[in-house]
Amino acid sequence: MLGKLIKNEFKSSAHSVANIYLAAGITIVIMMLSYVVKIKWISTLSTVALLLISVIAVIITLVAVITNFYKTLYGQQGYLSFTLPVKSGQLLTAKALVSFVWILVSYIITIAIWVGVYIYAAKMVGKDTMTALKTMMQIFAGMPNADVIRKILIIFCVMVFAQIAVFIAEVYFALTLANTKTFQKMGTISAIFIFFAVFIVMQILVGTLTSVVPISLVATVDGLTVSFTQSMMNSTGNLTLGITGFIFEVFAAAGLFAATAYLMKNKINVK
Amino acid sequence: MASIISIKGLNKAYGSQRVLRDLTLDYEPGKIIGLLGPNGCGKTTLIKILTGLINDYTGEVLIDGHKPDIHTKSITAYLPERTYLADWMRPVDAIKYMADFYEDFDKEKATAMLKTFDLPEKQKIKSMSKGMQEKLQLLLVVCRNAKLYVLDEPLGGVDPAARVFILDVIMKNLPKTSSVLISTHLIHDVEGIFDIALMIGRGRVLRNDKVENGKIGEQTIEDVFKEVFSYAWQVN
Repeated sequence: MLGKLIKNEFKSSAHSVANIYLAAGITIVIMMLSYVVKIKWISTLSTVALLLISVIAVIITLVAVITNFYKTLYGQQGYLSFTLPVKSGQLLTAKALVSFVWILVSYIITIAIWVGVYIYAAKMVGKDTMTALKTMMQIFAGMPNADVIRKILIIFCVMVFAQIAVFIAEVYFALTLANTKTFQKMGTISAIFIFFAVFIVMQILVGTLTSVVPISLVATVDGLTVSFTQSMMNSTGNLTLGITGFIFEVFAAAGLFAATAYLMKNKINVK
Repeated sequence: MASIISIKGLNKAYGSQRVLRDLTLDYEPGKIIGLLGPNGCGKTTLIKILTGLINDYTGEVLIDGHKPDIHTKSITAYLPERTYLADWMRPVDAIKYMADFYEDFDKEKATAMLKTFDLPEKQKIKSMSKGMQEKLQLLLVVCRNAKLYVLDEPLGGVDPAARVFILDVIMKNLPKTSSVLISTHLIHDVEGIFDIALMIGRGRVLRNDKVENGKIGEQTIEDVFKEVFSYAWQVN
C-alpha cells in the first residue's frame, strides 16, 4: 500500500509544482536560442528571469509541500485520505518522502541553474570556465586530500538532507497539532504559532547542546577525526564541521514524525 | 455472527459542547438503517467516528468486531456529504485511485457506469457541476462490494428527480447481504427502504425501532419523526 500511496502522492503534488518547472524549462530554451541567434537583450532578460524562477521554484515547492499536506489530510480531501485502508504512519511516510524529493529536486534545479548561468555568463564575458575551475582546484590543493574532501562533502549533503527532513517534520507536526481538539477552534493561525514555537525551541536546544556537548568533525591531511572541543575554529586552521546540532535534529525530526503519526491516529478531528 | 455496528457508551464533545451522549447501539449485518434527525443532532459526528475521521471520543465503537482501523476501512464504503476528490482528478483518475486502494472496487462496472451517468471520462472534477461531482462520488461508492455502506445525506440539496435517481442507483447496485447506514432528514423519500429507523436528538438515541413496510408499528416513519422532533427547534 505504501507504494500506491507514494505513486498517488507524486501524481497529486506534481500538479502543484509542475508549472514552475515548466516555466524554468521554457526560459532555458529561450536563453539557449537567444545565445545561438546572438540577440543579447533577450539572453540577458531570460538569464535574469531564470535566476528569479530558480528562487521562486524553491518557494513554490515549499508552499506546495505545506498546502498539499493540509489540503489532502485536513481539508475536504481528508475525507478520502483518512478513510483509505492504510495506516496513518503509511500516509505520513508517503507524504514525507514525496515532499522530501520535491524539495531536494527544487534545490538541485536551483543550484544547477545558478551554476549554468555562471558558466553561461563567464562565456559571454570571454572568461575560460575551465581556468576558473583549475584555480579553484589549486586552492583546494592546499587543503586535506581529495578523499577527505569527498567525505566532508558527503557529510555536508547528509546534513542538507537532514535539514529538509527537519523542516518537513516541523511543518507536518504543526499542521497536525493545529487540527486536534485543543487548537482546532483557533483555526489555521495556530499552525503558524506552533511551527515557530517548535522552530525556536529546536534552535535553543541545538545552541545549548552545541555548547554543552560540542562534537565536530575535523578534516586534516591524514583524514577525518572527531573532536570534542568547543572552538569551531580549530587552532591548526583545519576544516571543522560541527555535528552536535545535526545529530540532535535527526532525533528531533524522528520524534516529531512519531508524534505526528500518533496524533493522526488518535487525536484528529477531520472538519 | 459479529454485529456489523456495535457501540457502547459513546461520548463525543467539541470543547464544552457535547454532541454525542452515552450512545449504545448494536446492529446485525444485512440491514438498512436510517439515521434520522434534524440538522446538528450529531448524525455526521457519529458517521465520522464510524468511518475513522474522528478518533478522540470515549466509549467503544466496533465495526465488524474491530475498532475503526484498516480492516473496518477496507470493508466500509463511505459517501460523505461534501466533495472529497482532488481538483486535478478526472473521473478516470478517481476510478484508478479507488481501484488502487480497495480490493472490492469493481473497475469495469465503474467505467461502464460513467457512460450510464453521462460523465465524461476526462473532464477535470474542478470544471464539473456540483451535480456531476455528486454523481461521480455516488458511482465510486456503489461500485464497491463493501460489507457496510455509510451514506451521509445522499439526498441533501438535490431536486426530487435526482433523489429518485440516487435512491434507484443505491437500491439497484448495493449487494443485498451488505449493511447500509443512511443519514437523512428527508424521511418521506426513503422511509420505504429502511429495516431500522434510528432517531438521534441532542446526541442521544430517541428512537431505535424496527421498520416493517415503511412503518413503525402503526405509524409511518415520517409521523414518528414529526412526533419525536416536533420540538426540534428547542432541542437542537
